Amino acid sequence: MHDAFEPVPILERLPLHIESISSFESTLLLGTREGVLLQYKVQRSKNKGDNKFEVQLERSNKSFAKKPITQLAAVPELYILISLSDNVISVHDLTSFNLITCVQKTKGASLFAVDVQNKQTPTGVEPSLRIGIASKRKIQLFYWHNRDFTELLNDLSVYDIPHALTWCKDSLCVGFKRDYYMINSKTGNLKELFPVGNNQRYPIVTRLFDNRLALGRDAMSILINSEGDPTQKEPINWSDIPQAMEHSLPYLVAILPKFVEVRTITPKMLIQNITLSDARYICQGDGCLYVASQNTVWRLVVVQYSLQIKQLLKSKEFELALKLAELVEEQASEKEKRIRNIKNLYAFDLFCQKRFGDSLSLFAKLGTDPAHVIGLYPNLLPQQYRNNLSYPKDVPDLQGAENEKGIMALIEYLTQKRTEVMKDMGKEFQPTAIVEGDKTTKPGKQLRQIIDTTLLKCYLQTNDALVAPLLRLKDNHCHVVESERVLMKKEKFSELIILYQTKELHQKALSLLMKQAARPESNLKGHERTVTYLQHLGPDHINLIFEYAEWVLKQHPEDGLKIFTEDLPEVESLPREMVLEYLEKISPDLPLFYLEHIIMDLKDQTNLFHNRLVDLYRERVQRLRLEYIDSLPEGHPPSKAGEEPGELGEARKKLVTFLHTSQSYIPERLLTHFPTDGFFEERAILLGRLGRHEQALSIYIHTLNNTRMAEEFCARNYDKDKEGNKDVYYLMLKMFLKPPEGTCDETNGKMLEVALNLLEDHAMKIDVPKALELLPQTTKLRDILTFLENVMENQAVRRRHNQVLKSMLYAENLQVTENLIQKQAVKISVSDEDLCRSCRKRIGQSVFCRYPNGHLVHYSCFNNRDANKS
Amino acid sequence: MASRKKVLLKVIILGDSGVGKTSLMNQYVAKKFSNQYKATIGADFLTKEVMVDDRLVTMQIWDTAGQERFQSLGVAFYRGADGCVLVFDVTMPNTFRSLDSWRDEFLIQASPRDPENFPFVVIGNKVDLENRGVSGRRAQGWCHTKGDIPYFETSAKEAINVEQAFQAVAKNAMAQETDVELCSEFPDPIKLSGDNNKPQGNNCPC
Repeated sequence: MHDAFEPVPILERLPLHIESISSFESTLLLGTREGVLLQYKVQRSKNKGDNKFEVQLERSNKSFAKKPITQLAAVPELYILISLSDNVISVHDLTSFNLITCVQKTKGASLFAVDVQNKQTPTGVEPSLRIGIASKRKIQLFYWHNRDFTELLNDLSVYDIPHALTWCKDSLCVGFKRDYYMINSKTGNLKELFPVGNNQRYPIVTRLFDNRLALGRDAMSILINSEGDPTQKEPINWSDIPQAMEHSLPYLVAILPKFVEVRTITPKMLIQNITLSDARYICQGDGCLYVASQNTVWRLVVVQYSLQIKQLLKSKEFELALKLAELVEEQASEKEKRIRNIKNLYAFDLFCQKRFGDSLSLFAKLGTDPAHVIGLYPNLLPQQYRNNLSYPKDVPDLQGAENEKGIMALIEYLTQKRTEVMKDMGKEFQPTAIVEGDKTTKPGKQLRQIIDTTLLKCYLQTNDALVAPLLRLKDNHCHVVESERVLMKKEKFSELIILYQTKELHQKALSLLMKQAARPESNLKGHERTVTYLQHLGPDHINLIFEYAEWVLKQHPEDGLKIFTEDLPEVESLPREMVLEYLEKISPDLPLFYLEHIIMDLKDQTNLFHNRLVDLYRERVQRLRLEYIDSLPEGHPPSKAGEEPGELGEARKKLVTFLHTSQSYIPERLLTHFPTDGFFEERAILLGRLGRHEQALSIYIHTLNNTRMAEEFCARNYDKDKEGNKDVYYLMLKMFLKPPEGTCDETNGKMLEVALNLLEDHAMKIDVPKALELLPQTTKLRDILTFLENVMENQAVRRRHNQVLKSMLYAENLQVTENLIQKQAVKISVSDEDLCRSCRKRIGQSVFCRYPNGHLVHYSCFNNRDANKS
Repeated sequence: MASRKKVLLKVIILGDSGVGKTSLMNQYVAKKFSNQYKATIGADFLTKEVMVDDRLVTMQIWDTAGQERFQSLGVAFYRGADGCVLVFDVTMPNTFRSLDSWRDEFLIQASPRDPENFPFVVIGNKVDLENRGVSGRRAQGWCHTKGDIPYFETSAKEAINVEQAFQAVAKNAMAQETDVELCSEFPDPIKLSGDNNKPQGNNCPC
C-alpha cells in the first residue's frame, strides 16, 4: 500500500445540503436539495508544493430549480449543463445558466446518463451528445440536435425502475433492483447480464477508461465490455460494498460505507484507504477527482507520480510503477529513461526471485549491458571485472539445480544477444546499466568477447557437447586466455585444440597434441589428431608442419605420410620440393612413397621428381639385385628383368613400367647412373628415348637375345613422320643382317630367317630399296617372295587410293569453278537511287563492292570497314 | 492419450546458396521443379502431412536463405526445431566443406538438449549432373564422424531420393520426440527401496 491520493477539503460545513456534483476544467458545480446551484472556481494555491487550493464562489443561482437538484452533468464541449430536478430534465447554458430547454417528454425521469463523443468531421471535431433517461419503467434515448433533444429510438419499456444507467460505446448498461441489463442503443435489444448482489441496496455501474464497465455485485466489481461479456476472470474485491465509484487511471476509487478505497485493476491490488466521513458523491473532470458528503467537498489530489513510483519500487510493485511511469508528464527521453530504469530493477528483482527466464528476457528487451547480466551469476566474469559492477542489492548465491536452471536461461539470453551484437556490428548500440548511471561495457570487441567466453563457460557447466561447435564457429570471439584456463581446468583438451586452431595458435595446439598423444588415458592419445591437424594447416605453416610431423613420421611412417598425401586442397598445395627434401632427411623410404603419390595420383610432371623417382627405384633394385645375385648358386644365370623372385621382381617391374610410361624424366641424366652390367632393358628404354635406336636395338637383339622385345621397341618408337624414328625397323633389320663388329655371327642362318619374318610383317614400315641392299647376295628370291608381294600389293593399294583421291579432287575443282562462274556472271545495275550501305551516299560512278546478300558499298567504305575491324 | 495428439515437426533446411534447398522443398511438397534460380529471401515454410509409423505427422519445412548468414534469422527461429536438413551440392566441393559450419551454427542457435543425437540429415543434391566434385564416400565419411548422420544423394530435378530423405528426417525427428515425451511424462521414479542395482528398464506397459 502506498499513498496515491491526498484528500484536501475544498468546502466545509456548507449550510446547504449537497445532492449532486459535477466538475469541468477548474469549475466545480454543486446541486443542492434546496434547488440552489453553486459554482466554484478551484485553483491550486500559488505556493508550490503545497496541496492547498484557492476556492472562490463564482456564482450561486438560487432559483435554478424549485425542487432538489438530484443529478448534474456539465457538457463543456457543447456549453450546456444538464440537470435533473423534480423528475424532469432541463438543459441550461453553461456560462449564463439561462434555461435552454426543459424536456417535458421526460416527465417522471429519475436518472439519466450522458455520453459525449467527439466525432471527426470534415469541418473539425464535432461533439455529439447522447442521453439515456430512466423514467419510471421505461428508458428514453435522445440525442442533442439544434439545441434540443431529439428521439434516438422509441421509448423502451422495462420491467422495473432502473437505478443505475451508464453508457459504454453504443450500449447502455442498466442496473435494476435485482439485475443488470445491457441495451443496444441502435437496435433496442436487451441482454440480461447477471443479478445484483443480495446485500447491496442499489446497483452500481461505473464506466472505465478502456471502454469497459465495472458492475457492482456486493463487495465485488465485475468487469465487462460493451457487449456485456466479462473481460477478466477475477472480479475486483472491495473491502465493503461500494456506493459510488470512479476510474482515475490507473486507479479505481470507490466510496465504501466507512471510507474511500483506492485499488488497481491489473495487478489487482489494494492501494489506499482514505477516511472521509459520510462521503456519498464522487465525480471527476479534467483530471480532478472530487468527493462530497452532504455538506463537505474534498478534492483527491494525486500524489506526484515520481514519489509514488519511489514508494512502489521500495515495495517491489514494478508493474504498477511502470503504469504510473507511463502517466508521468515529462519529456519522452526522460520518460523512456525512467521506464527503462524501472524495468531494469524489475528484471533484477525477477532474477532475485529466481524467475530466470522472465528476468533475462526482460533484460534482453531492455538492451541491458550483457556484462551486467552475466555478473548476476557467480564465477562467470573475471573477478576484477566483476568487482566494478554494482547491483541494487546483493545478488543471490545460486547453487546446484537452481544454478543450472539459471545457466540454461542465460544460454538462451546470450545466444540471442550474440546474434544481435553481430548484426549491429557497424551500428551504434548503447547498452544500459542495471543501476542507473553505472559504467557499461563498450560495444564492440570486448562485449563480444564477454558474451562468447561466458557462453563457453555456460556450456561447460550444462551441455558440453556444444562447446566444440561454439569454438568452431568462424566468428567466435572467445577470449583466448580465459577460455584456455577454463578448458584446461575441465581437461577439455579436444576442445582446447579447436580453440587454438580457430585462434591460429597452432604451435600451442600441436605441442599439446604431442604431449597428450603419449598419455594413454587422454582422449587425444595417439597420432591421428595431429595428422588431421597438420593436414589442414596449408603451405603458410610449412615449417610448423615439418616440426610436428617428425615424431609422427618416426613412430608411424605410414600414417605420418598421410600428412603430405591426403586428398585435401591444403595438403595438395604444399610445396612439393620442400616436402621431398624434408622427407629425405627423415627417412630414406619416405621420398619414394611421396613421389609415387605426387606423380601417379596428382599427375605432377616436374622432370626433377620423375628423375628422382627413377633414381630411387634404381637404387632399390640395385640393392636388392646385389643380394639376389649373391644368393644365387654358382653359375646359375639370373632371371630376366622383372621376373626375379620376390620384392626384386616387383621393384624392377615398377622401374621398367615407369620408364616406359613417364614422359617427364630427362634420360640423359639418368643413363649414366645405370651400371652397364645388368639393367640392359632399362638402358635400352633410355637409349630409345634419346633417339639412339641402334644402341637400344643392339641391346635387345645381341645382349638380351630377345627379338620380341626389340619388335615391341620398334612398335613403340616407329613414327613415319619423324626423322629419327621412321627407320627403326630398318635399323632392326640391319641389326640382324649386318651385326656390328664383335658380336658373334654363328647363328647367322637363324638371323636371316628372323630378318625375313620381320620384312614380311612390317613391309610397309621399311624402306624397300635400303632393305634389299642389306640382304645378302645369297638370299633366295623365293624367301623374299612374300615380302615383295606384300610390298607390291601395298603399293598397288596406295596407287589406287591416290587415283580415287585425285579424281574426287578434280570433280570438286570443277564444281567450285562452276560456282565461281555463276557468281561472276551476276549483273548489277547501279542507279542514282542506290546508296552505299555504309556511308549512305550515292554510289554513282564510284568503284563499289557487293556483299553476298546484295548490299552495295563504296569500295573505299568496304576497305575502311575492314581496316576498322582489324 | 498423449501419443495420439497431433504432431507438428519443425524441420529446418540449411546449406550454402544455390545448393537447391528451395528446389528440394518444392520437389518434396509440391512435386515441382524449375531450372530457374531465384534466391530465397529470409525464410519461408511449407507444410506436408506424412505418415510415420502409422501416425499422421505434419511437417513444417523451413527453407532458409543461403546467401545471408544466420544473422538475419533470430534465435527464436531455430528454437524448437525438431530436425535439420543440411544440404550441399555434389558438384561443388566448397558447399560440402561448409556443412561443418552450418551444423555448428545450427547447434549454437538452437541449443538442443542433446546435440550429439540431434536428428540431422545430410543431402548431397544435384546427382543428375555430370561433373561430380564430392564423392559419396567422402560425404559418408563426414556423416560418420558426426555421429552417423543419415546421408542421401538426391536430385531435386529428377525427383531422385527426395522422398526418402525427408521421410528419414520425419522418422528420426519423431523418434526424438517420443523420447522427450517419455522423459517429461514419466519423471525419474522415487526409489523407496535401497536397492539401486535393480535394472531400470522402461517397463511401462504402453
